[in-house]
Amino acid sequence: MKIIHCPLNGPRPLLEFVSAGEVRNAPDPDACSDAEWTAYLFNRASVPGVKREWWCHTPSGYWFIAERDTASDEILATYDAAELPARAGA
Amino acid sequence: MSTGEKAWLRLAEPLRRFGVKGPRAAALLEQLALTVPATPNGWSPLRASDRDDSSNVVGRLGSTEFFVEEGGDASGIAALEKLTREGSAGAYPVLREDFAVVLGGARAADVLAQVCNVNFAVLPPRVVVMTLMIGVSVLAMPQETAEGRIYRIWCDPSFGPYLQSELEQMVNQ
Amino acid sequence: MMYRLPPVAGEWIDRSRPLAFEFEGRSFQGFAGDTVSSALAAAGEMTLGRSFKYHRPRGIFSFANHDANNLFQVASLSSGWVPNVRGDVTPLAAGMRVAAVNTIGGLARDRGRFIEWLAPFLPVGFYYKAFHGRNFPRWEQRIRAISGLGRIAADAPRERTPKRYAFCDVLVIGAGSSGLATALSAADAGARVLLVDENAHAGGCASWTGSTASEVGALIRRVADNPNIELLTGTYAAGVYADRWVALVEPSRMTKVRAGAVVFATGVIEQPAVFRNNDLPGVLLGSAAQRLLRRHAIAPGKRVAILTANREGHELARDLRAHRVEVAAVLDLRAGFGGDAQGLDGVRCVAGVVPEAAIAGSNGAVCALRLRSAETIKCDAVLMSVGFAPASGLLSQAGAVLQYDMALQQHVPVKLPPGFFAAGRVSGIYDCAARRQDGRDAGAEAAAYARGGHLGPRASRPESTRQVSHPYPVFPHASARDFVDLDEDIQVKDLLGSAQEGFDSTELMKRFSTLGMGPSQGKHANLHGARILMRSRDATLADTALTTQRPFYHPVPLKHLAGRGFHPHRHSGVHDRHVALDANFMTVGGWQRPEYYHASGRSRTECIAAEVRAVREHAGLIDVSTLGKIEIFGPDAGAFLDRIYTGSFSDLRAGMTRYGLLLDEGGIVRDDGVIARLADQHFYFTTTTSGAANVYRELLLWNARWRMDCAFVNATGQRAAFNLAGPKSRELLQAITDIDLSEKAFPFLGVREGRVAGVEARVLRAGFVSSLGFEVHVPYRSAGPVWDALANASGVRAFGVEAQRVLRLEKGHAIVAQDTDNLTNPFEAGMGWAVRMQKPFFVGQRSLRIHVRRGVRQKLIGFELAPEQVASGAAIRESNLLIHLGEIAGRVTSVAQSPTLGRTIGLAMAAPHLAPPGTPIVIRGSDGRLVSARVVRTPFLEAE
Repeated sequence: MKIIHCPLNGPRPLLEFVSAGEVRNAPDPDACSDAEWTAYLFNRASVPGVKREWWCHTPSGYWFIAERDTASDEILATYDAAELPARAGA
Repeated sequence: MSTGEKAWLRLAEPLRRFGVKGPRAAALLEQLALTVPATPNGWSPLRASDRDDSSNVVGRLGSTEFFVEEGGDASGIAALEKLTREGSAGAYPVLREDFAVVLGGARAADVLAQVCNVNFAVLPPRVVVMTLMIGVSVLAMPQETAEGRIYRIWCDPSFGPYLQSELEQMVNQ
Repeated sequence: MMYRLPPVAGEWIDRSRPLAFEFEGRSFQGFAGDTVSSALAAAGEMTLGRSFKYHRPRGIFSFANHDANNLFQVASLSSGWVPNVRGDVTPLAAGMRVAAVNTIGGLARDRGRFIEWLAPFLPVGFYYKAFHGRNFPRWEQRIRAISGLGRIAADAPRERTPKRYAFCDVLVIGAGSSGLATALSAADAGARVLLVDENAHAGGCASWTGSTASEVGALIRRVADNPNIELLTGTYAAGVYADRWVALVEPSRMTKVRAGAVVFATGVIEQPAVFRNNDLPGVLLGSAAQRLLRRHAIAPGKRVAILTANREGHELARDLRAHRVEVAAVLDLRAGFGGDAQGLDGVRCVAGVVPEAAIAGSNGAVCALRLRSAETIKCDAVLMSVGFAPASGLLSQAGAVLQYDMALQQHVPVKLPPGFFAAGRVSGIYDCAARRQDGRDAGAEAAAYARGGHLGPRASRPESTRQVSHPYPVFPHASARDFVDLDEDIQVKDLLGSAQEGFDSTELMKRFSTLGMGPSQGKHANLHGARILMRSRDATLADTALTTQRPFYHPVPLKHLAGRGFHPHRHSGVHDRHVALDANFMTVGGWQRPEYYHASGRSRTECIAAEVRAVREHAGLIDVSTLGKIEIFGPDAGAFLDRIYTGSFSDLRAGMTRYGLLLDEGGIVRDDGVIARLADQHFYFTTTTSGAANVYRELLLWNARWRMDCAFVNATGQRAAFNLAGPKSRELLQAITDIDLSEKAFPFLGVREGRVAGVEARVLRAGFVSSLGFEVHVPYRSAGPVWDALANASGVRAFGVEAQRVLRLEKGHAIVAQDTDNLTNPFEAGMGWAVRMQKPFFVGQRSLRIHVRRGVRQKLIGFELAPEQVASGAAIRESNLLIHLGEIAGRVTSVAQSPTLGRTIGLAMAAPHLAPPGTPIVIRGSDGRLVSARVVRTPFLEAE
């Protein structure tokens, strides 16, 4: 079973985690068109590559970010969500 | 594989439990002269005067949540309850009615190996582990006592009967 | 015929412990340390099974779990009949009763053997072309009746085998000389080593090669003395999973190991020669004969012919002679065998041999081997030692890339993923000293990897200079019976036929012919199958990959996978009270909840109706501890709730509650509850039972994004909650609480804190099941006294989930995920009143703007059945369809017989034009009958 390195709890098996999918920014609800909003709701970027994803360590209720290569399923980095703006800018 | 005496399981002594969380939770503990564990997911004896094998402990769950278990008159917990109820800003009360057991004996690690996928052997001392045991979220705390290494295990009280029944079966085998 | 020899040095059997057992109803005796097959072989039983398709007699072949000739049904003293027992590797136990499988009328007189006469009508894949048409069911029945490899005992007791987790720095799979050397080297480098071997003892093939036996014995002793090495014998690695997670299986249990590094020292699988009748009892692999000889002191026959293409076959001849077994001839496929025949004076050794067919004697076993040169050699055993394939299944699972080495005529791993290493013959290294060196190197590399470092590339890799595998030991015969896969009775022509039909890649050929799909999964068949296919296409093995390898390497008993069978469940703090009240329990969201309480002599319907009446007429008490309960603290608590729920909560007064509706970003109803404000920066709210964990996680995720100044506590399990409902509820509760419950002091939708039965409690005015009701929330451990005080109050009756569903239905209240589904927005569910569209933001708001513009496509309506429909016994159930003008116009979401109203009432999702009260509607019952009903306003019951 895959191991994920939780930034708070250390390396744990996959069964202790739940994923909420890719980190995405919603379009501004007051400014976007219906089409843009619907695309945000129902479409996902399916091209394989390194994605930032939300992951939760369920026993501790801790949400964090994992950067995962969806083609190889290798997790390249995990970090606290507070680091997102800095990493997203990079 | 160790041979020798078995493992034993017993309900934790009648102790009180309480939690406090928030940005000023640590400050509140300090204010009441209770120890603040230095690292996230670490634990300490509750007061400087408590010994390493004391049943009065404070655990740090993550960064800003603390878990206290205290026996006797539980004065520390009483003080925490009072201060947090009065709305101490940034330090919020967490009701803890956990089911609590202690697992010990020469074969305690073998029992744990049947329910928990954490390698306790390589953990640094004084850790609190938040993990799953047979499908239940638990806190597990290894502690060295006069009886050897024990494991203090807490979980949501509604899962208590299930966890107890399964652990007892393994211990008695 | 096989027979037992005098004691052989290092034998595994204990002659001082004879074990009596039965086979096919006859009595036999073996020794402790025998397997089922070896004990039968020692007694001269040659035919131990019947093949899958043609029911040909079969006996010992690989004796290493690489074939499925000897599958048995076994009853031991401790268990009933167990199928799929592999006789070659299952230890004999006293009192065992053993039976062959796949026979009609017993092994010896198996009537299924006449199927072979029909062989011309049963070419490969015949079932794809035959049986089309009306006769298929009859054929199917017949085929099913005679198929199958064993019977399952339906009354077999449930055995619970424990599983366990384990950890190590280096896992070494295989304890032959390479594996032993690996383990010692890794342990010397400071690693904690787990060494596993599927055999009963370590040592591997080196134990039976005379020259190396003592060296490997020394390695075994050193391993035993090393405190950093744990050796598990009788344990096989069944599968390799992500991040070096390996499943180890032994008879008593499964172990899930997390290894820092894994070394495969799994060795090789001897491959047969393919010629006519190569499947007869008495035709077996050379290594099988070695195992029988060394481990169980059994001679393969009285007069043995050896068909070989390597030095190993000649060594086998020397070993047999040393144990006084007559060797009729050593028949070498090679043009010359050079120095390999040293020490075989007096034994006839022939080069350039081409076998034609094995000949069966009257007992069904081999009695001679005929060569293409027309010579016939009389023998009662033919031992084949013509080549090997790597035991690379686990390596492939791990993601290794294997390439065919033309010089070696063997696949070798050329690329291993990080953390995986290989040593010994599985890498194509056969020389003894080189194998041990390879193991030492691999052990050091693995230990370094486990520590987080890595060693540089090796100075030199050992090269194998000797070819041990014949490139094509396949000799097809015009009359066939030249078996490539013994499990599936696949002959050479079957494979050529598959290719001709267009199934001409290894993967396609496998699926069409079933090559490699039998119980041994192609261990003795895949390589030759690929060779035959490639030759038919004028290509080589370098041009193709073998079929994909997947767990499990050997079959794993289902009981090992099931383990103890854990079923996590939750109990409320007063579970024992429900038991004492004779509750009928149901499982809801992992909790055990009382469905209703038995009253003696009353049916389920009557009990539920009585509980409903008690609430309507007096007071009832229900345990709602299963509700999700969440607390939010902090300056942004109200603002956070405003953003999450559809209503406004920052303007909620302390001491009041408000209904909370939770949507997802698509505007779909997801959960609901009651939100209470206890203080300026403290909210306490409920969720549905099954939604509790998800809602809590969802809130944490939203705040991980928004980072508002608030803290969350999941109090679901920490607090118990009881609902005292009915006209007398206020009066009865007032007697045991210090809270002023009068209407003025505690209005509808209020919340108060105080003491109930002496326990600190939060009390909410509840309206879910009745106009007057109080929900009392107390800490879990104090629940008992509070329940007792409430339950023992005068005239209070406990009621369960079923009664609650009827009561809330009478009040017209929808249940999320029952009366709503994954497409329901609040406007369709009649919950629009809970939505404050004018808030600056809430989850789902943007989508609701679209829903509003589109208009509702369905509406939740209340309906009641006409009285005469009820009298006629029409049964309407949830999900029954509404029919309008022959089209589906909706479905029933809730329905119940209301004791209070004396009518059948329900809720349904209906097309909007059917929504006006008074509209007649038609519902199609589960029995197909059409039932008429009428739309009515909800609630069905106004204030009681």
